[in-house]
Amino acid sequence: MKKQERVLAVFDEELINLLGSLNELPKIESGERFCNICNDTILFNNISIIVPQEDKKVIYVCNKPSCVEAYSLKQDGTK
Amino acid sequence: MSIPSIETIKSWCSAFGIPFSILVIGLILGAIITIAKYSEIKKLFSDLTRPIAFISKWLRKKNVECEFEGILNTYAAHFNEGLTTPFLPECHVQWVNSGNAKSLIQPGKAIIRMSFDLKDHDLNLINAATQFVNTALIHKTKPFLKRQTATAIDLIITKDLIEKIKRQALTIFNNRFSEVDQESRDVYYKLEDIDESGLLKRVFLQELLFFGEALVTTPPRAEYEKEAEDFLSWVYDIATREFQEHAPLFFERNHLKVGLILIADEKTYLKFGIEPYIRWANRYSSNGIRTIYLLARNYYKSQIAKDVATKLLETECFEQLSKNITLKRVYNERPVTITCIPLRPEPTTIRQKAFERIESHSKSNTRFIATVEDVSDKSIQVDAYGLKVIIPKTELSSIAIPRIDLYFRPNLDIEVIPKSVDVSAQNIVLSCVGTQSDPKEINSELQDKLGQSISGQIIKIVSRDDFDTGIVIDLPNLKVKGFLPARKAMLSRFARLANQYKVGDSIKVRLLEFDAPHANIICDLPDLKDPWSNAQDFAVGQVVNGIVREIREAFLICEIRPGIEVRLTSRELTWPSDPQSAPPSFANFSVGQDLKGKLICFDVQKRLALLSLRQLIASPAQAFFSSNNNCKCDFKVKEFAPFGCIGTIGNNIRSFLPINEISWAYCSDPQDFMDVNAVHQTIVIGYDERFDNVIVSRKMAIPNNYEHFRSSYNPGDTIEGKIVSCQNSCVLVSLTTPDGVQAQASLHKNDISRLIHFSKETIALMFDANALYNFIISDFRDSHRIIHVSRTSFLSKHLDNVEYGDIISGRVVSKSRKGFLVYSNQVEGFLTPKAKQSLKIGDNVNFIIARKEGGYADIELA
Repeated sequence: MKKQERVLAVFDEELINLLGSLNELPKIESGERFCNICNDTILFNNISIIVPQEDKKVIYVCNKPSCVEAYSLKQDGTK
Repeated sequence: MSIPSIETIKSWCSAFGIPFSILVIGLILGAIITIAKYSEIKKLFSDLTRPIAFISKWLRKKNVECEFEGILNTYAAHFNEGLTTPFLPECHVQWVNSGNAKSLIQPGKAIIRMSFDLKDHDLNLINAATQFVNTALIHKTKPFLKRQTATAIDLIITKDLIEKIKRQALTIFNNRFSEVDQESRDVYYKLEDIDESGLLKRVFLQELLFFGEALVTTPPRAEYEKEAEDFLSWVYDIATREFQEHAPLFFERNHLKVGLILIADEKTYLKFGIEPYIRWANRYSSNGIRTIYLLARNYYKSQIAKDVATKLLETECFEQLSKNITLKRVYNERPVTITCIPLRPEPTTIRQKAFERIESHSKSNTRFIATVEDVSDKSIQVDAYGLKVIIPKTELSSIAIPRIDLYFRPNLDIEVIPKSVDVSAQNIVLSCVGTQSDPKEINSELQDKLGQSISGQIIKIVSRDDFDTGIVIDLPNLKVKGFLPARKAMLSRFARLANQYKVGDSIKVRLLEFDAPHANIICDLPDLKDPWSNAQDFAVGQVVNGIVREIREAFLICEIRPGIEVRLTSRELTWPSDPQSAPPSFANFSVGQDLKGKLICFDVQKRLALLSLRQLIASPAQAFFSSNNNCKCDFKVKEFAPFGCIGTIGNNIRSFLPINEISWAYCSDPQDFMDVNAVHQTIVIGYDERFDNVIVSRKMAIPNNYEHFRSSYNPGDTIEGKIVSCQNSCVLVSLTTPDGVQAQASLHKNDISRLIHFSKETIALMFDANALYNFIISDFRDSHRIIHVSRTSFLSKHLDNVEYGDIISGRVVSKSRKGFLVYSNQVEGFLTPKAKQSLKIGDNVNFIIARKEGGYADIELA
């Protein structure tokens, strides 16, 4: 059997339900979540990457290309 | 629903006039195509369903899933083509939703948002590709690599992936690259060179894959990281070495044991056939090398490599690791076919076959060639078909030899004959006695003369295909002839032996060693010194004269002293009028002509010297820089580059404005600050030799007396300033002290107003050009020499000082459900609903405070 690598993804139209199940909805609605890279306020329409953490916290990266790329570099940096 | 029976299907077929057998064949073919082209079919499904996907969410989701899996898996299949162990696994998009989140979510593992919307398409793709490469490519090896090396590997593969699947998305990759630290970039450039030579995937990544699999159960250690780094350096040296330049062809450490066999010199093949290559492979195997790569460039050498591989595979002692052995590359702007055949030796079989072959020689009493590996006082160790065999001194010659090393040296091929072979006891005795390698063949007087200088007479100058090989010398009182190789006879490899030596002339030579296969004594000239050992009088920057010796497509070779060669690349001929233009050619140069140039590199240890003709005179850009350093000049924007702007200054001098020199505030996109053909005042700050352009700074031309403000003000102080420009996430402010000293500040979009949403249009309404506004200093950023200021803090603090009844002037800047929003230097607030509905956005109004509310006010028209 061929090896497979899973890429976790959330479909745009199911994003709000997923955030609800993570108890993150009220925090985002009240503007209390920020991009891990540029510190911009996270809104429903600018979320690009969601990274759940061990302590039930959730990291967000906004949809600016520079932030997405900077996050990838950060990932490399943690290897 | 029940499954229809065969009879039912047959009746349906006949109803539609389709023969049942055709239906069955069609279904089988369909199944085969689906299995073989599964990824392409997924992509096709995605393309076909996109126009109708609006009808259901399931279809939209499936469409996105199929597109990304199709694209990434097509690339993975292409990447893994021909490899026995795939580098990249298949990609599977796993949807996370509220129902399965608890079971699928892993701490630290990113969840990517994917959208059906076309506007997010490129970003989705880059996100997925980056995540896929980061987590899937040689993931077992990455913990054992230096962070920068792992980053560089991910970058080069991600770039390849983007180039192949979505070329237009490379801009996003380039932005990412500009953020990479210098050390990772250096590794990336090395990997690019390695890839250019065809060794990246076929050798470097292949070996790292094996490396990771061997270490997977052990924790990372510094020694593993060092081993991988050394391996990278070795592969890089091999990839960038020049023709006939020396570099070790094997790498042997605890875990990485790799040997290369280069089919580089056709002469070896023409003279000796494929036997030397076979011996080479057997030797690698007996020395513990785990993978042997046969490498060749161009069609003819590729055939030799394939012949050698076939012969090795026929012995059943080697296993071929990859079926796809050729790849295309561009070298000196010409397409080149590179052949790389990875072979895994089977040491046990090699050993067994070696015994059989030597036993066969023993039975037929025939001689064969073995290679000397080690020489000691009492014996030599040879490699015979991959077996290590010790030959004692007594078996080296029928005469007594005082010193073995005078006749035998490592890597010398010698003729041997088996004396006894006992396969069951695995015991072999080899001998040189009576063979061509027996030193008895040499006149006994020679034994005392090796190392001595004696006079002889030239009897022949040997040339082959217009190429000097050497000189045959008659040595007095010796039965064998002397041979002086051409490279040891002259300082310069371009000189012809016939111009310096004549048959019949007397020559003084030093006797070096006995060359048994050719039955002659190799000599050299005792008085000929290495020309590089006396080259201390040359230095970088020196103007030298030389003679053109060889002209190639991309460079020419010139001799500045016999034996000292310097290289002149076409780029170093003239200063280009347009940097994008192709470098000039060597059409006007001819072999033998005199040449004058400036040395731009002179490395005695590496024996590398580079010459430049263009640097004899300063380029227009260099001259401009020399006379205008630190001066103001007008910079006209021509185009935007990933790391800044390219433009012109002065008399159409090419110049570059780096992104970090555009503004005192953070700049992520030069286009926020400037347009094509706009002219900006800048200061000349440098000259870049590589691109021959003048470096300018726009921010240096903007007054910024940061240090004065740093020493005179503190965070929390109020200060006046003017709005200069507006970017995507901040506003630039020019602060001014009462005595006119200026500094630059950044006002973040969240610090402008508590009520009004940030946009460039609103900012234009809120602030008048050239009007002074009050700000509170948030903090000082010493690293960037910029002050962060806040309007919201000022408005909040100032509101306490405004009295009810004070008449304040402001402007209507926005409208919300709660009413009109009015912004002024002192107060911001909502006009009470009683306000006239005839008001328009942009109207100037006078108002009074009706109610103060956490940092803003409810106001009424005065």
